[in-house]
Amino acid sequence: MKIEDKLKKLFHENLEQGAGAIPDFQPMWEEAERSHRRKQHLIWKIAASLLLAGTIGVVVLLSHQDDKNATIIAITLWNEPTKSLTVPQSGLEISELTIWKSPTGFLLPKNNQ
Amino acid sequence: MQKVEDWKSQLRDLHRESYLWSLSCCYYDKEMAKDVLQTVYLKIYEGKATFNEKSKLKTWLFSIIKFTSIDFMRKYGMRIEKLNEDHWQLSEKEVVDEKDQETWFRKILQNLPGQQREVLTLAFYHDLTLGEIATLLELSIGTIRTHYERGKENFRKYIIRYKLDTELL
Repeated sequence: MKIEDKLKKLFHENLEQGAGAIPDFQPMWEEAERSHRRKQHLIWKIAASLLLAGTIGVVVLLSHQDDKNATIIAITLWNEPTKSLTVPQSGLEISELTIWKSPTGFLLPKNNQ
Repeated sequence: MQKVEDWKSQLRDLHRESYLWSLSCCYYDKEMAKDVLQTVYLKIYEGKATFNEKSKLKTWLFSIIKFTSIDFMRKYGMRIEKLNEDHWQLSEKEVVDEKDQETWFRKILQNLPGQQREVLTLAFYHDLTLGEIATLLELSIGTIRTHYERGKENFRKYIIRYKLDTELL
């Protein structure tokens, strides 16, 4: 018998015997399917977490922006407390000033009035 | 994904041989061989390994198994065996004491230099041609032929030396 034929016979008779039990295909294939699904779920979870974090960040930034605007508005609406001293509060005061008469006017000669 | 499902039946048909080849690549570590094959199935399922139909499905599948096993061994810090074929020695006691053919066959096979063992296993058990083996292992056909001839000769030497098989005497 040629060496090649003998080796072929030896390999086919003995290789599998030393291997022990060969694991079944179906459970291994199903495990591959499960692993793939777990990876997909993990990717979606990470994407959703990033989206949520981003949304929260944007909301926080916008809310700080509103506070700043409120401060600006408050400043523009602020009235100085001494305003009443420089500007007449009402028309009556203005008219009283314009028609004010000198208390010593009667002392002056008539032709000067 | 639909194409993977189409291959499923072919992968099922090749499963036994795939596991035995994985076992050979993993130096007969059964747990690692199973993990390697599991990883290969996952790669195929996820489309990370795609069959381009330039070679036979079996050659392509065995190639993925081979290189996945190398990745595993590197990852776990295993030294990839590089026996110098001139220095391999199986003691007479280890072989002659084992009258059981399966046992001495396995011992001789496991003691062959790694690439000789792989080439002989692919040629004589998995029925691949030397060209297909060269494609699978990404080596030149001249290198494969060298491993093939030397592996055959080493196997024959042991069988004759220890009179393990009278048909070859």
